[in-house]
Order: sequence, then structure tokens, then C-alpha cells
Amino acid sequence: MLQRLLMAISVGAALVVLAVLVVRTQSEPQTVQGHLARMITLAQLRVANEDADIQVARARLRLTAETDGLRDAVQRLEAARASLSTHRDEFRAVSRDLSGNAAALIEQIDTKTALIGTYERQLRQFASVYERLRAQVETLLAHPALPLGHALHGVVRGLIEEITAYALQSTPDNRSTIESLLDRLGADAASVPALRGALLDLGRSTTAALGEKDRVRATAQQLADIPIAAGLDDLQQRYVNHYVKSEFEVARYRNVLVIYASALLVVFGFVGWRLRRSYAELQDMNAKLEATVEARTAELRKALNDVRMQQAQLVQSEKMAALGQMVAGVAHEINTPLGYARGNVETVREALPLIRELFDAQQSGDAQRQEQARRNWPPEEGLPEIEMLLADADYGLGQIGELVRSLKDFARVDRSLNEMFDLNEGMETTLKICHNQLKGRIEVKRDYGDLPPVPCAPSQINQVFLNLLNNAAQAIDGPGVIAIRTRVEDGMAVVEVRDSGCGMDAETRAHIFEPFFTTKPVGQGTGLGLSIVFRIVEDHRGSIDVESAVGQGTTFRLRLPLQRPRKLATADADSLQESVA
Amino acid sequence: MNATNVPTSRPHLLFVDDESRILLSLRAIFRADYDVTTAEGGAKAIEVLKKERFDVIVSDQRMPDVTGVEVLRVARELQPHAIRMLLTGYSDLNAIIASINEGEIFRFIPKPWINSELRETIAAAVRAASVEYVALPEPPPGPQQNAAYNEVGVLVLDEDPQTTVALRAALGSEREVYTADSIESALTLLGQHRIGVMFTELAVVGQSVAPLLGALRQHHPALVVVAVTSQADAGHSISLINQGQVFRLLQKPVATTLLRGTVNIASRRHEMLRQHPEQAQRIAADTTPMLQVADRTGLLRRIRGLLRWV
Repeated sequence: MLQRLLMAISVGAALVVLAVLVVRTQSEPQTVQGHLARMITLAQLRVANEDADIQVARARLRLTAETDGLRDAVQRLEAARASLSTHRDEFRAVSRDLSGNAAALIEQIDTKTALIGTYERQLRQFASVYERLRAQVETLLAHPALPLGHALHGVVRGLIEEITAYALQSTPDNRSTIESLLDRLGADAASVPALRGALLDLGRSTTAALGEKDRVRATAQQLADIPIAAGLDDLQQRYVNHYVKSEFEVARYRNVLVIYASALLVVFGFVGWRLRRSYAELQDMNAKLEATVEARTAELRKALNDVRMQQAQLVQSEKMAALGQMVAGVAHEINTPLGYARGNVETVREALPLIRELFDAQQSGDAQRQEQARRNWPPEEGLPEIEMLLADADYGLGQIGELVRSLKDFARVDRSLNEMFDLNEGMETTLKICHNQLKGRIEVKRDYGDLPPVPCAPSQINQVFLNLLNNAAQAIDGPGVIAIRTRVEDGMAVVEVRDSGCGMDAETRAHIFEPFFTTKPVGQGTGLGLSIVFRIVEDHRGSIDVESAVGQGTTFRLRLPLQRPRKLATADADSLQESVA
Repeated sequence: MNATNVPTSRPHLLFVDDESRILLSLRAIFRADYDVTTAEGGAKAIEVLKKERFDVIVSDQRMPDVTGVEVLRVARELQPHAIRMLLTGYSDLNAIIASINEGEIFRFIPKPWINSELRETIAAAVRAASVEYVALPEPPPGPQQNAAYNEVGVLVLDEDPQTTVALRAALGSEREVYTADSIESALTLLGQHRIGVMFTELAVVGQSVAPLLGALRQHHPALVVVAVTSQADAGHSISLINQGQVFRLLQKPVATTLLRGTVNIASRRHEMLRQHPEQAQRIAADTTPMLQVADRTGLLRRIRGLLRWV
């Protein structure tokens, strides 16, 4: 029981571990496609950012207000931002840190796009200021009041050149050159009154352009200061790191899974092998068991046959013993009358010469001889004696004849085994057979009812009667009574044999019909008599029961059906024949 | 109980049977020559035995009240001088053995009898009874007291060594026990040693010992024979008593105490027979049939040459 529980638990644990490992290897959040998409987003962002930086740089070098490139860059940047923000959840799923990084990046991008907008405006502002400046310069230079060789001419030209250079390169030298030029312009403006206003305007415009340019430059600086590329690098670095780490983890789990699965497979293989071997053993044992069972069955069958044979032999020996006893009894019964009949006949024959001598003497008329003969055989004594002796002999022969007839009736060898039989007559015959056991000692009381002939095997029923009478006689120590009563009751012929013998206790009563049960000393009875009786009665579809108490005598009550059982007539006649054989 | 009034000098016979016609028949045969008394049944016989003296008692075995063996046993006590016989048509082995051992009967006569043979048997019994009865000598008080008594050896004629072993165990060193496993060697031993008691199986080396017994009964009448057998049957036992007058018939295995007792009483009987040779007539057997066989086999001649000292 405990072993089975442990077994179930270990199988469950193995399955759970397997499931965990499978989930571990399968729960990888970054599919390759997701990973690629994320990497592409990052790359796009990088490209858009760099492009924006290039556009910003390039726009600064332009003196016109052409800002299409910037606008495109902003658009690409925004597209990349949108892409990043759609992937943000995925980053978050990968790691909370990455999610923070991405958010910061998006914020920076937003700042950058906003700054680029400002930058664009400032650029346009500068461009318009510069345009106006150039127009003023051209007007001034074309103005006749300022001829080519005029000092101011050179200042104005130098101013525009320096401003342009400043706008493009913005070196510190430029600035100081411009400021010195502006000083010269301020100082020399008075020299040309016609142009003084224009020159002052120019100076103001120049200052404005310088201011605009400085703002542009500051904004560009601001833009350059936004660490998008670094953030991007960081994000990418961390993402890749994380990805590699998780990949590594998954790979590790996968290895574990593979090892575990292999181990499980080995275990299952072992279990399977064991199972197969057990099955083979089981089959082997089955085969052996069958052989053993067969052998045992054969042994048992042999033992049964032996027992049956011994039983048959015992039944046979019981029959022979009963027969021997009966024959001995009958022999005595016959030998007694035979003894005196024969003795008497011989005595008479021995007397014959004396009688003849008396007869001859009387014929001869010799008185002395007559007297002698008379003395030898006095007829007044001898004749009645001869009469008596012959009468006894006759009686004895009659007795013998009757006994022989009884024997014939008892054995019924000349009749079929299933006939209509007068039970009263059978009992009478049997009483004659066992007469010598009863005579003088036991009084037999007969109460024969009016019995119709009963279908049975007469010799077997006589055997039953003999057995019951013998038992009754043996139960009586000294003088006693056997009462026999026959009658019809409930469609059955009932024969009761009651003795005034010692009786028996309940224990004995319960076993008397069992084979080999005997109350006689060892060697004096096989204990089969009543079991044979029981068998015979059963074969006749009858019943036998016993009433007895210690000191109260015993009554055996035999019941036989009056009607011939339908089957008994044919099939069972054979079995009866067999049981007799 | 019908004692006749003829002079009492005639031998007195008692016939016992439960069948009155048997008694009438026997009376008709013997009344001319003997005083005949009949008793119908064992109980009546015992009554008569207490009142009258008989020379020969003949009883049926199977009677409703008292068995013949019982009647003869009582007769042996009351009238030990009388010769006892069983006349029965029922040859029950146990009854025969009991009649030998307890009744010490003279003959066993089966029914139906033949008048002439019965007359001879009765005549033999009357002759035996005419020899005055001598009681067995009292057993000597100690084993050393009577050298002659103890000198008497015991011969065992049996192929089964167990008989000798049992006998030696029963007797200890009291008495010499000789063993023979054939009739030849038994004869040799009988010639060499003083042997008073012989224990014998019914047959050795497939040869019946009956002729030997017959011959010994005639030529060595003081030898007391005890049959010890594992194969007793009624016919054998009857011939052992009728023709061999065996003293006892024991069935194997024999208890030690019984063996010892039997040897002692047989020795006393041997001593009695030796001292009173005429007593042998009281146990005269009908040896004719056995002697005929013994003569044919030359056994008789050998026996005649032996046993000078008896």
C-alpha cells in the first residue's frame, strides 16, 4: 500500500518537474520575430536620430530657410518613436528596467522633435534676417555714395562675408572680426550721411543676424546635447544583454530538459525492461504453475483413485466379512440339524442288524436266540426310539430345507434387481438367517402392517434388514427384545426396527451413517455396515433415520417409496446392479 | 440331567447343547455303553457340574446363555480330572483358540459328526480320563532351588528370529533357549540337549510342522508343544489340537508376560509328564494322520533314534 503511494507520488513529481521544465523553455517572451522587430525598431530609431542630427547640422549650414529635410527627419523620428512606443510593452515584458529606458528615450525624442521645431523656426528667422541683411548690403554696395574704393565699401563687403562665414562656421575669430567691422561701420557711418541711416540699419540687422545665429547655435547645441544615441545604445546594449541572458537561461533549461527527458527516458526504459522481464517471468511462472497444477491435479486424481479403490476394497472386505459372518452363522444353523439328523439316521442304521437278528430269531423259533436278540434290541424301547430318531431327523432335514430356502430368498440371486417385493416376507427371511444370533436370548416381536409390494432390489433390502437386525442383536447384552413394525405412511413403506439395547449418545448418533465410523474395537468392524445401508436406501430414493438415547435402546426407521421412481425402472437398475457388483 | 440308574462303574458322560434334538441323538448313540447326562444350555451344564462327577464333558460352543468355552473353563476348575471336548458346527477361530488355551480341550469335534468316529473319540477320551489326574507340581519357590527344573531348555522352531528374541527377553538367563529354523536342525537340537518345551510356528521353510508334532507326541510324549503363529486359521488350529495336542496356541505378537507365564506353566507340565509318564495318555492325540505323513518322510525313523534320556 505504502509502496504504491510512494510510486504514485514519485511519478507525479517526475511529471511536475517535466511540466515546469517545458514551461520554462516554452515561456520565452521574445520570439525571434519579436526580437527582430524590436531590433529593427531600435535600428530605425537610430537611423532616424542620426538623420535628424545630420539634417540639424546641415540646416545650420544653410543660409536659406529650406527646412524640408528637417521636417522629414522629424517625421521619421516620430515614426520611430511611435514604433518604439508600441514595442514598449514588450520591453517591459522583457524587463522593467528596459521599460524605463524606453520611456526615457521616448521622452528625449519628444524633446528633440520639439527642439527641432524651435530650431526650424529660428533658422527661418535667421534666414529672413540674413536675407534682409544681404539685401541691405547689396543696396549699399550698389549705392553710388559708396563707391568701390570707399573704406566703408570694404567694411560692408567684409561684414557680409564675415556674417556669412559666421553663419556657416561660427568661429570666434569671425565674431571679433564682425564686432570690429561693426565698430568701424558705426564710426564711419557719419562719413556718409546719405547712407547713414542705411548703414545704421545694416548694423542693427547685423546684430540681429548675429543674435539669431547665436540662438540657432544654442538650439543646435541643445539638440546635440540630447543623449538619444547614448540612451539608444544603452537600451540596445541592455536589451541585447538581457536577450542573450534569457536565451542562455532558456538554453540552460533546455539542456536540463533534455538531460531530464533523457533520464526519464532511461527510467522508463528501465521500467519497461523490468516490466517486460516481469512479464516474461510471470509467463514463465504461469507455465510452471500450470505444470505444477497439472502435476498436483494428477497427484490428487491418483490419490482420489487410490482412495476410491481402497474404499471399494473396504466395502468389498466389509461385504466379505458380513458374508463370512452370515455364512458361519448359517453353517452352524445347518450343521446342528444336520448333526442330529445324520447321527439319528446312522443310529437307526446301526440298529438294523439287531432288528434283523430279532426278526430272524423270531422266524427261526429258537427261544434262546429270541431272548438274546430281544436283550440286544428290546423292541418296546427300540421302536419308539427309532420312531423318535427318524422324526427328529425328518424335522432336522425340514429345518435345513427351510434354511436353504431362506438363503435363496435372502440372496435372491435368481431374481431381477428391481421388482415388487414383500418387505414383511423379506424381514421374515432375514430373521431366519440371523436366527442363531437371536435364539434363546432375544425375543422378536413382530407387528407387520398390511404392506403392498414395494419396488426395490430385494437382496439389497434384505442386506439392510440383516444389518439392522445384527446391530440390534449386538446392541443387546444378554436377554432383550427386538420389535419390528411395518406400516404404510404418507405413501411410503415404513419399517421400524427397535431394540432394547444399550442405545447411543447424540455424538455417536450423528456419525453412525458415516463410512468407517465404528464403536467396535479396532479390527472388529470396518464401520461400513450402516454406510452401506445408507447408500442402498439412498439408491432406492428412500430414507433412514435413527432415534436413540443411552440406555433407552435404538430405533431405526426405514422409509421406501411405494411408487416405482420413474428413473429407477431403467437407468438406475444399472447403477444398482453396479453397486451390488 | 437324566442320570441313568445303571451301575456307576460305567464312565459318566455329560453332553451340553442348546438344541434338545442333538442331545437326544447323542443319548441314543451312547446310552448303551455309558452313563449319559445331558444339559440343555451352558447354565444348566454348570449347575450339573457342581453336583455330579463326570469323566468326559462334551459341549456345543455357540449357546445363547453361556458359551461352550466358558462351560469348559468352569469344568476345568470344578472337575480338572474330566476330559473336555467341544462339539460344534461353528468354527470360530477365537473360540477354538480359547478352547485350547483356557479349556485345555482334548478334541474339537465338528458337526455334523460321524457316529463311528464320535464313538472312537469318546472312547479315547474315556481312556484318557481313566488315568488318574495328577495336578501340576507347584512352581519352585526360587530359580536356583530346583536345578533339574531349570535345566529344561526351550526350543524355538521358527524362521522369524523375533520369536527367539522375545523369548530370550522374557526369560532372561533363567533358561536355555535353542533356536532352529528347520525341522532338521530342530531334530538335531532335540537330540543334543535336554529340551522340555518347544515353541513352534505352524510351518518352517514352507514345510508343515504337523507331522513332526504327531511324531513327537508319540515318541517324546513329555515334550510340551506351544504353537506360536501369525497365520492361525480354524482348520489349522483344529488339527493342532486334535492331532498334535498342542498345549497352547499363541498368536503373534505375543506379550512378554504371556510368554514367560506360558514357559513356566509348560515347564511344570513337562516336569509332571516326566515324573508321571502315564499322564501322557491323558493328552493322547489322534496322531494317526500325522504319523502317516511322518513315516512317509522318514521323520519317524529319525525321531525313534533320538531322545534316549527321556
